[in-house]
Amino acid sequence: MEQRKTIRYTAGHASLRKQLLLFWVFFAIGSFTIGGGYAMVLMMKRYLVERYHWLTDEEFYDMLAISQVTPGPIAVNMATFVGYTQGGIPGSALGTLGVSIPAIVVIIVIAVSFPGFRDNVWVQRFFAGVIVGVVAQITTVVLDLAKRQKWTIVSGFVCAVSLAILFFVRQVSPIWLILAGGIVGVIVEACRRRDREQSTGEA
Amino acid sequence: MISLLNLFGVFFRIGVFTFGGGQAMIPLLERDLVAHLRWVSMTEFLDFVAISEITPGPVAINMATFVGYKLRGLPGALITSLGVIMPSFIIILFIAIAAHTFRTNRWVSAFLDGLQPVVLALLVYAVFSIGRAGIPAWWGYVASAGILLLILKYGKRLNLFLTLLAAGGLGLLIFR
Repeated sequence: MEQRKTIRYTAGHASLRKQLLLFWVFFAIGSFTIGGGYAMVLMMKRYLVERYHWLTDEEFYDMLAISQVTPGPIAVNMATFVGYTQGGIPGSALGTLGVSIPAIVVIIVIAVSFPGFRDNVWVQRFFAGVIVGVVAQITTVVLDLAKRQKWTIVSGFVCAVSLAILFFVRQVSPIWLILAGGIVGVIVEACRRRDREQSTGEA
Repeated sequence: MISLLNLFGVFFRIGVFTFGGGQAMIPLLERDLVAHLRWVSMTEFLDFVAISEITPGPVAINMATFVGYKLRGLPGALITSLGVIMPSFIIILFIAIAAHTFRTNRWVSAFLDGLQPVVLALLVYAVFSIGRAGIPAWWGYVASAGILLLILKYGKRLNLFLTLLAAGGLGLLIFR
């Protein structure tokens, strides 16, 4: 809660310097998003939460969840949201461009000049190495999220069931898991509220 | 020749219907581009996917750029990328304008609390699927555990971008 106070939403009136910073941070993040959506979670957390305080921890993880139920790549969603809260519409456009430009440029360069790119052994080895690093980085986020989780019987159960479905059922879109988890959260809150009302009613 | 507007439309529609991150887009792209419209062949498509997964940037944008470039050159590449980005940009922008912060009331808050364990499960699954698809040998996992310990020990003093580059360099040495 303490951290929330330090975050200021400057939507609409951010300085040019801040707009450029938004572009640059997301450009850097986009340049290193290798291996799909979650590959960047640690870097995004490091920069957006810990370094620049553009998001709280809680908002960051909320945003990860919201990205699952809205269309589009997580990095783009994050860039649009943070860009808007920090720099208004220009900020969100700059953040989104920043995160997208590396992807576009790299592919055009490869398409134009390296037709044999994928078959190059050195390229394959280098990127296998990068994936090794990416796996380590996501694991640190897993540990962090597990630590800050308010573990209850219900949340443990939800986590275990989600894992079982992901590993054994496969063809399930994450969106259904996310929605089911959210509904469980609402039911828990409703039960808690009823209990509270009952106990105050008796007293 | 396929018109730019047509290209934009196809990728915009794919962008609207892709929930759950860029990876979720691949089956949709396959159905539309390979089976339905026959704009790219299956071999080409698999090639595009393989390259998109090892190049920087969200996979969805990589894929869009590839297909756009193949069909209409540079303008095509820009149009398809724009098409695939626009839906999420517009939707998130609306969310951001409507609420600067997510936890506006206790029911929304309860909903978000409820899905945190699911996000954790998704991340655990991501670690496994990325590792399984991308790490070619068991010593890769050992190296990964080593890097994990380094990050945990040195925390913020460790530059994450350099760590990835170093991991790539390590890959050149250890993978055959």
